[in-house]
Amino acid sequence: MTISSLEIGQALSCDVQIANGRRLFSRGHIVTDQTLRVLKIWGVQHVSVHGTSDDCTSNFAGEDSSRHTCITDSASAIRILLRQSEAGIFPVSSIVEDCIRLANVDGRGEDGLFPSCCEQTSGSYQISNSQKKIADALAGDIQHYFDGFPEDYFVFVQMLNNVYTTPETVVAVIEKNKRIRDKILRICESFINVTGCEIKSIYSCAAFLGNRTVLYLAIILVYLEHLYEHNSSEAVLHTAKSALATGVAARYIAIASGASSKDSFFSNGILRDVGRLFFVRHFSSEYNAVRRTAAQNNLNICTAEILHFGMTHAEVGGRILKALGFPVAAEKSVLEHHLRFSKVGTKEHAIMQVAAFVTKALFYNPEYDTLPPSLDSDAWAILNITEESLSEIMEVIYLKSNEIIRLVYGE
Amino acid sequence: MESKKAPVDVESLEGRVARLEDQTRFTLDALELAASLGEFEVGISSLHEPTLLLREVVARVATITPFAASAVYLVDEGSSDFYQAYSDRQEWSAQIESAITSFIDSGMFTFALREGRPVIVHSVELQRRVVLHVLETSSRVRGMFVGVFSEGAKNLTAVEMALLSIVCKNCASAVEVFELYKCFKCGGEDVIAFSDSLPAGVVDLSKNGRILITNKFASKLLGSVAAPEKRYLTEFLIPEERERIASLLISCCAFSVPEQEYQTESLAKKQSTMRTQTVLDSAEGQKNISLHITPLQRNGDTFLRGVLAPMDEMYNGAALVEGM
Repeated sequence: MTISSLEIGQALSCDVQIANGRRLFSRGHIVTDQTLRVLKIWGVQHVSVHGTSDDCTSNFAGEDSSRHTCITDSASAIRILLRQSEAGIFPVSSIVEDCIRLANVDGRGEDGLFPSCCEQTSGSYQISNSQKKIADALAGDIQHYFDGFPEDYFVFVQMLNNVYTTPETVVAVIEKNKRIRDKILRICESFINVTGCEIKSIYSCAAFLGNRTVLYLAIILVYLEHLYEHNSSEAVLHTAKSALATGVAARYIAIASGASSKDSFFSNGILRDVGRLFFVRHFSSEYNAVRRTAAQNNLNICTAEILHFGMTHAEVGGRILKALGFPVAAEKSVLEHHLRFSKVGTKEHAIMQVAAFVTKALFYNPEYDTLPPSLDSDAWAILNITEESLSEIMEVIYLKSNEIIRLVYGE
Repeated sequence: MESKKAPVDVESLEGRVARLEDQTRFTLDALELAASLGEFEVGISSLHEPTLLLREVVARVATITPFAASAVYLVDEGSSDFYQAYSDRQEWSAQIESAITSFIDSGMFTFALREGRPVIVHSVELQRRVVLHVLETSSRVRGMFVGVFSEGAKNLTAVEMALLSIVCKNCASAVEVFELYKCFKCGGEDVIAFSDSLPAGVVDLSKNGRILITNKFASKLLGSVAAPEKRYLTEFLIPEERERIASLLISCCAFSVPEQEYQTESLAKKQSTMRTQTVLDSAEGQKNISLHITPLQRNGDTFLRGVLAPMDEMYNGAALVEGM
């Protein structure tokens, strides 16, 4: 039952518990004015009450305890995904079934679901002259690949590092680009989603979501728009859309896991695969060869990239962000995104890894994607996400990702 | 990227250097301020309610940016509702309360709760801009900071917002520590109040037999008020009993009960409580007592809880020594 239709005097038939484990009300609690206020405060949308069709004592009694169990491995997460897919809540990508298959054949003691992508393995592969040229080009000045980018792009990036940036200065620069401005307004409205709160200005966006989130959004929109105008290949488009979905996933997982400084997750999620986007855009056929090498020789993608280009997409991404003047935190996040959780050990890293996992589960396309990295159980454990909250998050991520992609590409 | 910029000349370079120097100065000031924002002068463990702490938090926020009025809402852990725990301008309290109710109804409060960063909104009730910042630790949401901007006040820069987040994070941790101390103190007071009501002596001992706590009955029995210089339980015993009881306490701590000395009762489950009889050497003369000693854990430390019952008040004093 939705909160708006809840009436005073009704009795709750299930415990009401929120994502961080706080139990608001126990089964049998009689609804009062204060109950409604508390439910609104904590953003609870639905509750179960006695004597209605969603009375959980009759329908979900057996599931009640497992709903509050914390997820500690990818296998549990995948089971939830499959259950939701079978219930028609959202479709999952083919990789989810592949994961189950891989889990059965893989005996490496991790989750066993995704092949690892962080350790380099030795291989005796011959590097061709053309590959050598690419490797040399990447090792040199990478900045000239961005020469044709719009002026706005660099102005926004510079503002990221300006300690005096206020909402007013953000508004001033974004208002000049009407197309970007309109997109930002619609995307922010989608994120904020507060009753009776209409986002009419960039000022509101900055006030609600923070200057940096809005600036990152502007940078990303200019970047994607430029890519779309100059290279609208399916591979580039898919990689860019996946990046957007990863950003959305990172944001909602950060919220659910109670991470601090949540405004950086959206941008870090989007920028995560900026190196791969670079490869796909500038070395399309060569990158296809990398993917083939990885698939045919059962190599992880990072190893295949090193064999072909001399460096991984994570390293390239880090170098790009550094060359363009992005903050060090963003550069570090991209550079480390394929390191195992045990090597970094932060909640932020765990969020980004789970976000990538979720995005692959929802949007994986074998034609353009590579398998995601393996996910340590500790990464799940540190996030303290229950099965119930993951189910809710996945649905939100699926809907919001599609909405944001539609808004960005005007589809 | 250089190709995108205006032609490089001395004037523009000088301007750039000046801006960068200015930013460096600002950054160092901000770092110094950030370092000072984490320490609160108030001794949290001695507080009975958090007003003093919250007043200091509001004062710290004022060093970042002055607000027309500030308030701190805390979570009532019993009802999970928010209540206004502190406001620095009482004349604004009712209006702030009304604005918060409106934010709750619109969902803006929930939004701010989830964002974990400063959210600036316009309040119809206050006719001002308001900043909301959740007070959150890694384990719990503890409250919400509410700052009402003065009319025409400038907006917060990114650095000021980050500093506000630091204060709010520290405030949440301090409130959490306060709540935990409160629980700890309440728990301790309950145990003492309960033990004072018992018609038997209760005494907590350290592992080496030093007296930590006694209830009223034990104090009376030992005459410890009359003999404050005595610190160890054995000092209250007749001399010939001291070595045996000291040995028993050591054995009890180590869970190794000498079987020849202590007989095992036929209980279904083994326990580590030991029971013996001994003789107190009190101001009122020698007194036979039954002594029960149980090793317990508290905050990771082992201590011994002893129950002392006078033999003349017991209807069955047959067993000399028992231990499990």
